[in-house]
Amino acid sequence: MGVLRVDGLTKAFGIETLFSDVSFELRCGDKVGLIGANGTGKTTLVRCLLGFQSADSGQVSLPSGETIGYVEQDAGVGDHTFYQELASAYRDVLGWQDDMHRLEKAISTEKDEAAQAALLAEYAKIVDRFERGGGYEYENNIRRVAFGLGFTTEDFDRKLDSFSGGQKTRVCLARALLRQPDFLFLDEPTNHLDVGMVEWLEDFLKGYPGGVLIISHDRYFLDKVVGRILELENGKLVAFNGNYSQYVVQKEEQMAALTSAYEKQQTFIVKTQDFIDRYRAGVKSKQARGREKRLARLERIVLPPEVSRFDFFGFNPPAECAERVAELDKATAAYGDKVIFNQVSLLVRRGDGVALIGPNGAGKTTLLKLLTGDLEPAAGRVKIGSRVKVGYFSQEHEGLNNDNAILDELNQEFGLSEERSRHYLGAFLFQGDDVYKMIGDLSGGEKARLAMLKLMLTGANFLILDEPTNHLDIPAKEAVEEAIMSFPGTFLAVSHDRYFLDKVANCVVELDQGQLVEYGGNYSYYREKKAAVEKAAAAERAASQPTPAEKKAAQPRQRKQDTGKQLKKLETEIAELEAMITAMETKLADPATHADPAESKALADEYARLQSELEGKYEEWMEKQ
Amino acid sequence: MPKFGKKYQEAIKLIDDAKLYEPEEAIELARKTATAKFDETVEVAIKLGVDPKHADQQVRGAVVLPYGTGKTLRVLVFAKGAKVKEAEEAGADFVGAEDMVEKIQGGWTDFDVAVATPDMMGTVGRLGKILGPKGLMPNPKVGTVTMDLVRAINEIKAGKIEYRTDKAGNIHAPIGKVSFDSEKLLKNFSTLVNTLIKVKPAAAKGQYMRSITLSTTMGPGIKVNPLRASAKKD
Repeated sequence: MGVLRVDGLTKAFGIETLFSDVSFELRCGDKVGLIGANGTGKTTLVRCLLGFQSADSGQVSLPSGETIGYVEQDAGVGDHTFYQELASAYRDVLGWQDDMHRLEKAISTEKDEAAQAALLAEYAKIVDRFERGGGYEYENNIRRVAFGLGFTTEDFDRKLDSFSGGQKTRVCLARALLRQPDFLFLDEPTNHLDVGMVEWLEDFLKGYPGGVLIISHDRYFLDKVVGRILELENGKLVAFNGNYSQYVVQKEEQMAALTSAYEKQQTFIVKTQDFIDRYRAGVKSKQARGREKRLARLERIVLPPEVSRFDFFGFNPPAECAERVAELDKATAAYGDKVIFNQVSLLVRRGDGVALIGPNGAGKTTLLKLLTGDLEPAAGRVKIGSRVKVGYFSQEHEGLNNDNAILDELNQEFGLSEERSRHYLGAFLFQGDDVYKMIGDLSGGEKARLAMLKLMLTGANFLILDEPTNHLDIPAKEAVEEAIMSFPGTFLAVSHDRYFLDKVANCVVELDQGQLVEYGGNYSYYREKKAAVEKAAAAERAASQPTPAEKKAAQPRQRKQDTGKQLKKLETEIAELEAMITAMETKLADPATHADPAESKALADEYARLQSELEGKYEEWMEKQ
Repeated sequence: MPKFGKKYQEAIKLIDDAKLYEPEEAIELARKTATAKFDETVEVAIKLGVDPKHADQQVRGAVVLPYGTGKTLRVLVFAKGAKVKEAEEAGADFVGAEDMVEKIQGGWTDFDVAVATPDMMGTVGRLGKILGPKGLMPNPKVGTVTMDLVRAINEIKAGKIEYRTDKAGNIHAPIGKVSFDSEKLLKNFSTLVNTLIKVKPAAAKGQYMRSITLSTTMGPGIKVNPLRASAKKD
């Protein structure tokens, strides 16, 4: 198995060094998370590994013949179709196919024997490459991977622009997986994916045989998938064994050890300096000079720059409100004739932290719109309690004025002094000259932080949050988490960030297939309950099927039959099954079969069933021999 | 754990799993362990010390086994003009040009090997999508694109087998039937092994013949000493 080696990689833009002396190894089977704040150069590092960008020094060595697949953060944009995008993974193979056709024509028209022999030799080489590159299977592979990731035949001709963010991530993943690369690099793969899809991705990556490097800010995802964390901080890469939670513990221990060593050294320096100052001119002047030299030679411990931490500040406590903050009473939501959900009921009490989850398209945003009053229920009732002031955090942050500087935005809207504004802004990681940035120039994460701050300053006592942690890096997520946890009011959040939900929510409400189910705990509690329900259902299914012993008891006569006859019968059955399997293999090899995903899946299932039946028959035949 | 039948369990008792057998011994044992009611094929699996990911470490070709495989292959020849008669006389089962291409495009593939003359490659190339996945596409590397049809057909009929490393660097090939006598099987076996040694890629590192295992269709595997097998001459 190959090893990807990175040795002393350095990259700078002008005078600013992005990272220096980065070295690590990635082996087949390794699952590694690459973390760091926004703008530390994670994506640039990965692009240097892939050769898309050149590093200033250092080298990346990949064993020849080994391949890397890359799932970009915001890729899949262009005016080509989904099928063309997937086929682009086979660009080299398609090139060889063209060469083959060119050579076939040249061979058939060439009269000179020597020239023909040379053409045949070249043709043989290209055919070999084409076959090894999966040239004969690429169309089937595209269909298999696309259907496996939940796409349909209709999607093949759709332009990429028309896909949603989550679908685009899946398109990139499909393209990367087609060639079964030895190493897979993923840049923020969980952005835009719903919880079900993220869980699928976790299982998939855990079972992936090659090496995987993941840039992610999704802590729950990192916890589940990776076995090593690489942190890019202040231009240096530091490795930690274990998943994200273990990294946090190690990081704290390291920091504590460093701080303790720093304090000891400072005490030593002060003491020594005191000695030097006192005895510089006395009888101990020689000793003092010696200590002075030692002090000059001392390697000073430098503490890393203070990480911006959320500094809790006293919000103007939101006004008290009624005990029943919001209530849906058999509410039905519909757009025209299309019913999104029917007769759902929900009660949000004062002080509740409700997490609303569900797959994409289940109607979560519609439910939020009912609560905010943007949408009227088609039937039933939506009641907001007395003295409840609703604050809504949308994914688009419409409330921000792009022409304002951050500081002015707060001053104008809330009439705050600069000092007070800076105090609040600091809590949301806007420091120094950051506060003079124009809102139009801010990144998605920065806008989200500012929108959250503004929401908290409105004095709302019921916050409705739609994906509050999207686009945020880990420190920013932590800042938002702490802000929400210290918020004394009530909130209801829609999020796919399970770590966030685990931390802030005390109640999970799942909206799926028009049904609303309440779980009285955080996300982990919800998972436990869900797993228990699934287990019970599986046990029930198993119980309803007869056990092998019961099956045996049900067929007592069969045992008594003449073994010779049974063998003959078995052999006929085996021959029949083998013929059916061969016929099916021919059918499966035909690209036309995969034109219809339903038919393709049905065939694949039938094939698997026949195979297992045949294996069973083989075993039976062996036993009776 | 897979469940094995009584006969298989009896057969496995004859084999010392830790021992590397001499080729002769292994063949004898293989014949003894064949218990099925049909004429089982004797197969050999050879692990080569090559990395098939590298283009220069591919092992692929064809070899004519002196005593054949015990199976008659149906040969299709793509040819036109005088070559049609030549192919028919040499014993080809099906001969044709455009008509055969159309027939195959219509779904017919009842043949085991396809041979083409170079002048037919422009036409045969259209069948890549159908024949390629089945391994039936004529290829100059295994001698199925040639003007010498007589030789190609005779060799195929006489027991020419194709060999090719799989993704893990293994070669799988039949060397005859259990009904063959041991000497014939041994001869076929050493021909295959010696051919593989001859085509050893220059880039292959370390021990080339890593392991050899002999078995029959329904029988257990018998490990053969790769050093002794390599020393056997044709």
